[in-house]
Amino acid sequence: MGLTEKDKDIQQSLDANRSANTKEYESEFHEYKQLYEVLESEPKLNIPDGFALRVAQLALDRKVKGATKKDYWFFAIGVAMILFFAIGGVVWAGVSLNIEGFAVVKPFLKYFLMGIGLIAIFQYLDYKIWKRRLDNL
Amino acid sequence: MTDKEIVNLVQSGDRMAYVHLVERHQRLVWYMISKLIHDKSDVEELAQDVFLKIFDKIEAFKFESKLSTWIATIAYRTAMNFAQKKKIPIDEGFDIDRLNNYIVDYKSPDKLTEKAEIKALVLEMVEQLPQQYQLVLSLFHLQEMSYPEIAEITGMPIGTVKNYLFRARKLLKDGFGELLKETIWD
Repeated sequence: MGLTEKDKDIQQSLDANRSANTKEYESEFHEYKQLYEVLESEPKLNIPDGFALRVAQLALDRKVKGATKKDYWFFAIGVAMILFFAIGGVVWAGVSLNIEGFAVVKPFLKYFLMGIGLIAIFQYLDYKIWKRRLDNL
Repeated sequence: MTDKEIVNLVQSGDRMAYVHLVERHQRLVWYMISKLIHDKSDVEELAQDVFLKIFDKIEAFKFESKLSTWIATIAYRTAMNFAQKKKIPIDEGFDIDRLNNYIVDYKSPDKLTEKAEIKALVLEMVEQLPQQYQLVLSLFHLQEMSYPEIAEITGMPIGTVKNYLFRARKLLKDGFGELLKETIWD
């Protein structure tokens, strides 16, 4: 038998927590009410133990991995930019570059190298501390 | 703890709050996916994917809808996309005669005297209904969601949601009406 207006009325009343409208509906109303009770019984789902903890660990691992990947990208972009400007600068200044110019810089070469080394060490330490903070989240 | 408090804690990086969020909503996600996808290992993997997506997107969650509605929407879309990708049919081959035969087979009176048996049988019959019918039934009766919330989750018009609900319950009532009427419930 198809869905009738009576069925719709009864179900809408039950959905809105209302009682049967008329005596005529009482019997079917009762049947539907029993059915609703059955439909409200919780099914067994077999969710594995520790599912939530496992997902949380996975989410954090992904976050750290994602952050590291992002970090590598920023590093690569940074290096590319430095190279671009350095080469660009040399090419741009190439016309006036001469041996005497280099001779002026030569005594400071070790300071330049020390500076680059220090920046690299700071970058490395900063990354290590930052990574440990993320791991402790 | 309210959903809002949990979300705020997760947004501020509290790991245990995220665990709590998963525990609170894992039944909803599991139930939704298993209504559409039947392979148990796929269900677990998809449930995991859903919670990872939630973790990735929670920063942007602004409580424009209820948390459970938002989570259920992600679960529904994830399961539907998976079904589409793996060409898993949803609601194909539903046969009303098979459903009627199923009821007739079990209508032997000696079998169906206990309330628990009738309950189990009705729930077994629910499993024979089209998947989308099962889904709207569970969202309405188990998750206590309203018609508009179910429409938001599934992307169906409210009229379709109501129609699925009414038809599903009508089928079940016609199948077991007499038995349900005669049974004394607590």
